[in-house]
Amino acid sequence: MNFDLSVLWENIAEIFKDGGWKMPVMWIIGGVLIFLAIKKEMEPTLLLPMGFGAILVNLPNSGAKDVIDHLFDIGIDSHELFPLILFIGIGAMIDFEPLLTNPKLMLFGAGAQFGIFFTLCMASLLGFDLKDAASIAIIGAADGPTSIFVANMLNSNYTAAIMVAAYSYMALVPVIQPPIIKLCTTKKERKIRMEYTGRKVSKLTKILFPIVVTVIVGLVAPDAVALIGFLMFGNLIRECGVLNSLSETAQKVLANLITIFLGITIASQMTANEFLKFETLVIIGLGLVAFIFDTFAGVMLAKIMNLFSKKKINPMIGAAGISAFPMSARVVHKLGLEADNQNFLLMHSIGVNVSGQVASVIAGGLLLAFVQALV
Amino acid sequence: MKKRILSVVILALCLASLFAVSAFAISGPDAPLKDCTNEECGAKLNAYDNFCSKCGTKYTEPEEEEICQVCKDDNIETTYCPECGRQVEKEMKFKLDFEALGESAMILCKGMLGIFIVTGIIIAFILILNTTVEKIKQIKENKENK
Repeated sequence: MNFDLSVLWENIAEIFKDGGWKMPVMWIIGGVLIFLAIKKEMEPTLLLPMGFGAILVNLPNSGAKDVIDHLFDIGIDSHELFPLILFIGIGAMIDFEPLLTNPKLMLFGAGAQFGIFFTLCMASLLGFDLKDAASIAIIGAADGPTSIFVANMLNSNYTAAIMVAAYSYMALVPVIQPPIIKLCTTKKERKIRMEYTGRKVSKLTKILFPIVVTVIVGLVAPDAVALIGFLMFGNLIRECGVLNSLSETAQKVLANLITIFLGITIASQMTANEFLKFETLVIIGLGLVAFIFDTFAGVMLAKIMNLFSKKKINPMIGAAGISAFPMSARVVHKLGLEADNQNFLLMHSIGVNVSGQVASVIAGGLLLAFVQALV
Repeated sequence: MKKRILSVVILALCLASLFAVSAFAISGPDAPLKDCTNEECGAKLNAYDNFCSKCGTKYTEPEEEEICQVCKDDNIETTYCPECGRQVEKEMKFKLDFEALGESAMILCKGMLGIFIVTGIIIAFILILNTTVEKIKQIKENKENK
């Protein structure tokens, strides 16, 4: 093997050139992402490839950059292929039964998208142009593929920062949500028990649901139809009952395969010059605002509904309307048990959580439609 | 009773803020005054005036000059410097942009309304479907019993 020392010196010299210090900083950021993925088990499927990719693309004269850029071109830049295919897998994983038995839970999914639009206002106020503000706001969808889809469709300058914030906050849902929920509710409200009927939904309903939702969303927000269509296609494979092996493949092999590529591909945007900006910090801050206001709005909507309904709703389930699935539902269930050890909210919060998944895609589509009309 | 009063207060606050945001979005915020495009006129225009009330000149946004960070050429039409080919870095200025806030607040109102409309349609569909399937089941059971 021919080992050329001059190459080594050349690459080390790159680090000491003007702005070269940013590369080691990116290695540290990559290392932190890997640490969070392995040690803290925070979204390891994505944070680990992203962390490793961040190191890979920030080596001086990195030969991997071209390959990863090419993956970005075909997998994300060109028709958002990776996030869409990943949605088939996610759709195959979701059971909409808790939602179908109690459809009014869907209102909480809708209400909890408020954080997206509130953050859009905040980002605009801070001087981000509309397309970047909308891309930042979509972090509040708490849904990685939707964030990638919208940010890329709007050609945002901050895709990498948005991705990192979206996936980090999804992992941080058990840390972010409980204090907000506790702040917005009294202990008495947290103790409210909700009856679960456990009524079965017919197979026909389960089959028609993905088809009809696709048609409705397609008619109202055509820009979101790719996202909702792929999600519902995955769900149809699951529910039709004759494609069990395909459903299993979509849930496991397909979703895992795309996740591997997606994580490392996002890293192509994590070059030091693109990532190490003051705006990145602002975006991460705005992402937190989005999650906080999603939670707040979900809880408040439940409180408002309690004013008009005879059967009281535990307002905490409104917080599960953000689409971070299933962490958010688990958080609500745990808080319910904390307030009263016989208060089981899991099925209700799961219903709200899956509705949040659908609502976040609708929100993404509407945001795209409104912003594209103005830009 | 206390809880009910508190809930009504919360509801009133929510509605009030919704109305405030809508009104704000429609009427526009109090943005600073801008200078008339006609330099000789020197009048101050309100943020949403398109024509000067004094001289009648149509208002046009002053063009922001972009300066190449390397050779300091400020006569650049593209985002790349024609002299050295380096990309011009646009500096992000963090100033509060109330005009953009008004536009975004409008999207907020339309977006939330849109989501609730779509959700309402989906809920209606599920309810109709559930009821229909139940009725078909009942009819089948009744026939079998007969």
